[in-house]
Amino acid sequence: MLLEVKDFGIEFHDHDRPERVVEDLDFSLDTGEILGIVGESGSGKSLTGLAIAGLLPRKKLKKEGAILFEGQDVLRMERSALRELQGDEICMIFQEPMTALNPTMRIGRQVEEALRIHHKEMDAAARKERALLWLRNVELEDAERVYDSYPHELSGGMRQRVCIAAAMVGGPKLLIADEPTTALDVTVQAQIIRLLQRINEEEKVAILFVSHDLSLIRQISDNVLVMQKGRLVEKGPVEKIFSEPREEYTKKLIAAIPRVNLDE
Amino acid sequence: MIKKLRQNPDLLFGTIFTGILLLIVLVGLIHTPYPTTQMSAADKFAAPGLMHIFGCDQYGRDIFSRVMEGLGSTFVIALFTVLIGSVSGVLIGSLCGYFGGLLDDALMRVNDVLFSFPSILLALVIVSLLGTGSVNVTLALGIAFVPSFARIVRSEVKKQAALDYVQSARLMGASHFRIIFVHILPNILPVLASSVMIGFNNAVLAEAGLSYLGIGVQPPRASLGRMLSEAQSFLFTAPWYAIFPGLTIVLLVLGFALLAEGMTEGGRDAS
Amino acid sequence: MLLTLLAVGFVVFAAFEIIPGDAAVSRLGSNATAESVAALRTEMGLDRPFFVRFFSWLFGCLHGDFGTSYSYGMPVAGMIVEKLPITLCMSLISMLLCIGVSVPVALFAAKHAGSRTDRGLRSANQLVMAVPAFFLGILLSWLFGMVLKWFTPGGYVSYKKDFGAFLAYLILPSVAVALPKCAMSVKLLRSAILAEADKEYVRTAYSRGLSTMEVLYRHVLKNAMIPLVTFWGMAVADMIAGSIVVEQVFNIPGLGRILLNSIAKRDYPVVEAVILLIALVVLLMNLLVDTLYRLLDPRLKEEQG
Repeated sequence: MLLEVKDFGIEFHDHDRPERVVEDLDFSLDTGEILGIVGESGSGKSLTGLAIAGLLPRKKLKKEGAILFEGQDVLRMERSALRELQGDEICMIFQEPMTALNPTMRIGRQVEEALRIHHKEMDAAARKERALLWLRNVELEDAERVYDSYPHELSGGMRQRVCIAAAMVGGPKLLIADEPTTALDVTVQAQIIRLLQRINEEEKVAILFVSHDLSLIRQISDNVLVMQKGRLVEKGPVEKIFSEPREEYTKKLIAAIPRVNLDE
Repeated sequence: MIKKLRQNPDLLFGTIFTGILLLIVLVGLIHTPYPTTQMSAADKFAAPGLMHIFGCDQYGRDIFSRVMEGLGSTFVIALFTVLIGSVSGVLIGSLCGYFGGLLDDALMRVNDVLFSFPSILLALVIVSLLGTGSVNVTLALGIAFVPSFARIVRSEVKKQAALDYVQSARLMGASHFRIIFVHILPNILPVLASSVMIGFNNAVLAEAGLSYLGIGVQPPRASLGRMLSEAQSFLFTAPWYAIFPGLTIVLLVLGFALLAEGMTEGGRDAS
Repeated sequence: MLLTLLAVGFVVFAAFEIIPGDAAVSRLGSNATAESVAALRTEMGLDRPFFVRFFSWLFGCLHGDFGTSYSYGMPVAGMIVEKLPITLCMSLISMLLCIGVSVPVALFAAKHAGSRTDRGLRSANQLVMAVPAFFLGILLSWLFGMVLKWFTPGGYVSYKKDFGAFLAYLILPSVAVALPKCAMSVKLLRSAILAEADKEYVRTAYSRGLSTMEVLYRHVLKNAMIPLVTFWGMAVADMIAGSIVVEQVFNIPGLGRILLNSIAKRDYPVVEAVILLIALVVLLMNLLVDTLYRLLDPRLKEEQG
């Protein structure tokens, strides 16, 4: 198993009363698998993604259970050991490609950054070559020009491709995608989904795909987790969940999918 | 109210400092422990003690009494400076911001240069034209403070003038005058209030600087800045002569800064 | 920019023109005869029409000739050129101190935001901001000159004689000028850093395995400095003003002394020249700030170009 999440829970302590936002979560993810997590906003799906990437704040927050990445517990690791994983083994892309990139740093430097940290043996030329390779691999035309651009010079879809390139450049085993297409137009959305599928096949990278959009989850995932109010409602292979949902909540979610999307 | 003060130490200390100094100013208007110009050879450089809590200067004058008087003039000068600066700034800024056009362009060009010019230098130049003395210094500082107020008010008025409520007031037939003063100005009051408070502090600092340079309140009247410049020659024999007037300025500025900070914080919590 | 400088020059010249009092009369004293006043007026060129004098003054300025001092009878340019390095050096040291100290302190405060140290720093900051630079100068010269005896008040050494000793003497005055501005920029930079730290690209940077320090230095700092550039640009002008006052505290014969003396003596050619010079510095600073802005923020380049 690449990733095992056991009895995982999150409790916020930043107000007067502690607030449980994720509870008793159990699931696992195999090498090369695409797992979709679906739920409404506030279901705890994004927080789960951030926790696996080791990006939850250390203060004001209590984490329970275990998140085992190749047997090591991400929740209880030293910060320095965690940083070794981040950007190298575990990567993440976010919802807003507009704000997820540093506005005053050239694209090239941002794509190379993970290499700079984790592959100190690479020289500048090798890094650049690798970065350009990935910029081409995410189907960006004119990769050299993009390499020297600033984020504001690119469209939203291009920026999300840049984010994917920056995440994949270190050759990770797990890519966490937190609503990666929500901020994009429908056509761009479809392209990004196909891109992620292709990368998954070619690189054998496991993808944790977090979304509120069931139809997207159905297109991309092998297995699905349905979450509601911090709890796991149902999990299983994607076709099984769609053809014979057991829980009421899942049925309601499926019923709410607009027809047009299902016909695609 | 008390609970609010406890949660907001800035406001608490700001109120205390400003309150104490204001009290000293008010008392100083009617009564000082010693006449401020009374010299006494016996008390020359008397150290702070029960008779003279801040000690005495080179002529044996009571420093506490002179601080009371000096604080009063600083206070009044700063007050009028801000008054002149803000009233003219509001007039110029709101007219420019509301009507725009060529005059606005030209005025703001000049304004920008004046704005980036340090106000104490500007005041120095104006004083050199008008001559020294407290009235002239107030006038000079007041004029020197106009650009910053005009700039702030202009940009705020410009922002407000583009909003829908101004358009609808126009449609109802309100005059330009009415729109500016009845509709727009109340909406920029919070911004104006905080810049008035900052302006007051800058005015205190500038006044102290000018009177330190010997421009401003003229002897024999006491002024904090001039006391400091005189005290400098006697730093070794009578350090208290410099320290007390200096601390008074610090306390005045600090109190007001804390008050301003506390009020914006309180305002943020309320909204 | 040249147009603005021209406008400033005109305003300054005109302002000194409309004030009551005749320079020739004030130079000769009030009991001078009418003939001698008229003779001096001709000699000084005061009998020519206003615009003629303005343009001849202006052309002079462009050639580096700022006229002749009324009270010293020396060319103004020479007087100023000699004193300019002193004030500029002091402002420069202050500026370097201000930036050099405030950036690390602000980073430290932002990194430990909300902690006891952060709150302590904040209070200290508030206090320092309230201290007038000249009082700080007095306190420093008392502490280092009289209590610790590390420093001789009034022991100014000309930069022509011994540049090292000159710089050493300038350190304390520069600290006095810099500290209040430094406190202000710590406050601004700290909040700018915290505002940047909430943005999403910071989370992206963390997801690549950067440490907090790396995130702060490589990503946050540059973005947080952008709003500070304006403040620092304006601080330069304030520091020149501050230097002029603090020079008096430390008895430094810089531009401040000339300005104050000539104001007292109504020596207008000197006052005009000093003001014009400071205006030039202010305008150059504005230009520098604009350039820096464009260097720091690639988004602006697009809009302008």
